[in-house]
Amino acid sequence: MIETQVKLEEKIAGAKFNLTLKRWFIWGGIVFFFLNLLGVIGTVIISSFGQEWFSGWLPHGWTTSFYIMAWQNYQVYGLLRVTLEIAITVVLISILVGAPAAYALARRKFPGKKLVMLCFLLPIMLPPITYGIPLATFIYKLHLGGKILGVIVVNLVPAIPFVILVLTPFIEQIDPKLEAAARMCGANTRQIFIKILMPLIVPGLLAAGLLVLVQTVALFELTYLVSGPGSTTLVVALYYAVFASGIRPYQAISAMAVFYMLTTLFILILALRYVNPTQMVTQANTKRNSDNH
Amino acid sequence: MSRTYDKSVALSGLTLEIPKGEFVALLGPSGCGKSTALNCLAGLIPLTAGSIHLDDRRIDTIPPEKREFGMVFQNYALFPHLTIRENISFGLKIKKIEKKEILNRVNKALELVQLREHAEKSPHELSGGQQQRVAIARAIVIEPEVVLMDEPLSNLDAKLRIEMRGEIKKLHKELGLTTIYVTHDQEEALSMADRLVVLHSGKVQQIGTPQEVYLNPTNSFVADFMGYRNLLSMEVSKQLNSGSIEVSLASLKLVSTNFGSANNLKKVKVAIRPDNLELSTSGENLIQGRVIAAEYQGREYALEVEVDSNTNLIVRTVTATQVGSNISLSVPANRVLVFPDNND
Amino acid sequence: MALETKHSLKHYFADRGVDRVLVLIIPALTMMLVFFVYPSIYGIFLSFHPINHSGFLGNYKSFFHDTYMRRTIFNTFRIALPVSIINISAALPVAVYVRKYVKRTRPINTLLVIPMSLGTVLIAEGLYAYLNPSGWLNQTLMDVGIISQPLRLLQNFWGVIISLVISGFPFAFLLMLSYASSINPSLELAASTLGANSRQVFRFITFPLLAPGLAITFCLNFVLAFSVFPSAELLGNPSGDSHVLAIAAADAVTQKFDYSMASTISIISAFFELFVIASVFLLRSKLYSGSTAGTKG
Repeated sequence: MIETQVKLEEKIAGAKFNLTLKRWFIWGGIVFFFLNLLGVIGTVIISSFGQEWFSGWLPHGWTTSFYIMAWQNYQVYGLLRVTLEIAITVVLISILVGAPAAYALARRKFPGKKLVMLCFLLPIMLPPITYGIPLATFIYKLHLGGKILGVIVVNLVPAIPFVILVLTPFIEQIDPKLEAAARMCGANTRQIFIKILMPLIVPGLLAAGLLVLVQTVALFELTYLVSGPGSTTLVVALYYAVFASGIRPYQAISAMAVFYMLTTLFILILALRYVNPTQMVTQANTKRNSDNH
Repeated sequence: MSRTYDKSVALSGLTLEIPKGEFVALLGPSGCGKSTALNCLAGLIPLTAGSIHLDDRRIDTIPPEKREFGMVFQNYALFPHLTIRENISFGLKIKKIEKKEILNRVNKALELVQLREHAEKSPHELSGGQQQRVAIARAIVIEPEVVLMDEPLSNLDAKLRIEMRGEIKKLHKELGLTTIYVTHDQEEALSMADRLVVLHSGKVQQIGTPQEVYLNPTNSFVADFMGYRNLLSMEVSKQLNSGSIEVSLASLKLVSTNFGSANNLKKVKVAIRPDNLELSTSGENLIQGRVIAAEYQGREYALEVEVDSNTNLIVRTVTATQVGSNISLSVPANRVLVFPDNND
Repeated sequence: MALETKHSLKHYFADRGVDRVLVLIIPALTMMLVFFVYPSIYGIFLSFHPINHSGFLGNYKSFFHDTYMRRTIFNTFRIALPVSIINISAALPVAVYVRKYVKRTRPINTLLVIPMSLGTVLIAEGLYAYLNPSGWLNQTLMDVGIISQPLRLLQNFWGVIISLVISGFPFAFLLMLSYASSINPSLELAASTLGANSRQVFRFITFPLLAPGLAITFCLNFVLAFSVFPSAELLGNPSGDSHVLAIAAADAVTQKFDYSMASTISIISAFFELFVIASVFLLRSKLYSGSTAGTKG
């Protein structure tokens, strides 16, 4: 009796030790990951302010002159304008086109629905580069290559399905009886849309729009393939800058990277006020997330 | 006012004329087509055949929003982004009624459902019963020609349900509204409606007043649904005289004076309500049996009585009875209902 | 009579969900058909029409005959497979732990979203300096005394791997976390009341329920690692062992303007991606694939 008691206690103590070990291991891993991430981002920021930095922990002197250099040489203002112009247009069009489709997909079952869904799922599941090259070929054939319109069009290809996949479960959880109730109160389709559906869908639209905004600003591959002078976005310009890193001092490239980082983080912070971080990776789980609100 | 529908699978050939001010209940188990009927009436589901007339106007061709019907939904379907007041005034605003009148009518409706002090709250701040009242107020404030109610009490708990029954009935009387009420709860239907329509797999089984349907169901399905828990497959064994027959199952023999057209058939269904079976040693149709289970149900006991090796009867009685005791039962011959066997 | 037929035809379609509401899909579907489906088909067509007129399969022949090109397949797998395995085998225990013991996951999730939304280009740019022989990583390791010579992590395989772990792990973690959270905790409680210890609970309950999610996470991570080329270009050795399919395809467009060859390479790359995904899903279908939420979830 006493023996088993002791054994049980040992077992519990062992389990507790295991858990402690596991906790240290996992938290250690998480901290290690974030330290490296901080190192990566920190290096960019510090080097953008440094005069010379060949070795040692910190640069040998500080300056902001590389920001001025980067701003002028890379024409950051122009890039920023083009980037936002493209991103906002993509957001607006993808919502305008995607939201009605999401509504229909949420409310109706029809023959061939699976095929239509596949058509909307593939551009998200497939990596951009695989369909990006034939798409870029097509865009050049339409004489849209290198133009802002061309960049907008290629960005719409993943953006529209994204909006649809975020909004469909969102609309599904709005009770269709609400529409029936409004109709029984005498409201016609237009009135139901404006007075009942719109106010209820707005949070979903906001979430979808912000997610598309974050995505479009960061989307590299598709833009890289079709953009030209005057239609280059920040991230593509950053790639070119790093690619041709011998031409300008590294600090200027870092300053350029900081400009890009600030833009992305600004939009990300804005987005995170309205959407759950997990929504950025998975559309399959948006339903659960929206239920939590 | 006459309505005919024909909806191939869900609902077939329902013909019904409802005079102004009547409270009609569509009653049946789930999937019987009662909700389909209501939604067709509302216009939310198109008719496949038939027509709906309101007075002399044909209305099945006009969209639901122009039919001037009020509807109360099972899950209430209150607009979550609007306050109670805004929910109720929604229909009036759509009709572009003058602001002052809207205020008056909404206040009156709030008064009627006793929700005056909750007017500025959101639907999710209210309890189920209160939400239900809002849904009713929203439906009646537009002064509809007909109010449609789709199982409005099924989401409430038992006590509240009984309370709301009375309130709905009262509102119906006060406002003189024509009401069509869908439910699967026979008690609810019996206590509220002026007339019942019993449906089963899309077909009308019986139309009648609560008393008619309760006391004289037209077939074994309606009997089963109306609480005739003793449903036995028996055979007609003897024609006693013009007014009575004898049915039997093994050693069990019963005399019935309530058999409709079933006297010429061999196989029949016999229905007896548990409360029509009495513990007594004298009277019509004496049956001997042994109690094999007794369930205390508050005011009374439900007994399961073995009357034959394969036949048990459910009996309701106020007398406390021991399991295992032998008892004698009687049932009046006019409460032994004999129907044609539907399975033929 | 004609009116009656028209009427019933409308009902016939309405009963099957085909009514005016479906018009709402048309703009989105048209966009997809014109800018996704058509170009993809066009790309396949193009790949069979080499610009040097070397015949129907000319591009495919020259791709597979050229050792340098053929090696891109190997190079891609050599990067994508280990990266996906590292990412999911790190994400799985962390996600299971976080779901069980961490109440407020939002701070972690928020921090993890940052590297994802910064994108591979910026991560590559940062790593370029961070992994330098005189960068912070080597400095720290040398100061602590773990190494005496700086590690060579740039212009080779390692730089690419590290960059793909930094951008891929958060993705894998967030995905795994949402799959893990969808498992009804009472299933695990039920197992432990039946006498299973925590390892057995994981082995017999949690892991089988997570397996389908694990398969999807692996696929998405693999596809991501398979096709992302900025890191291979900027941190690896793009003309050597980091000459991956995506770089070959992008170069064919941006440097040689050979769209036909570029399409060929994309199709080859899509083929291998689909091959891996199909085999993972085949494996998955042999595992449990019901609802993870238990009944009435």
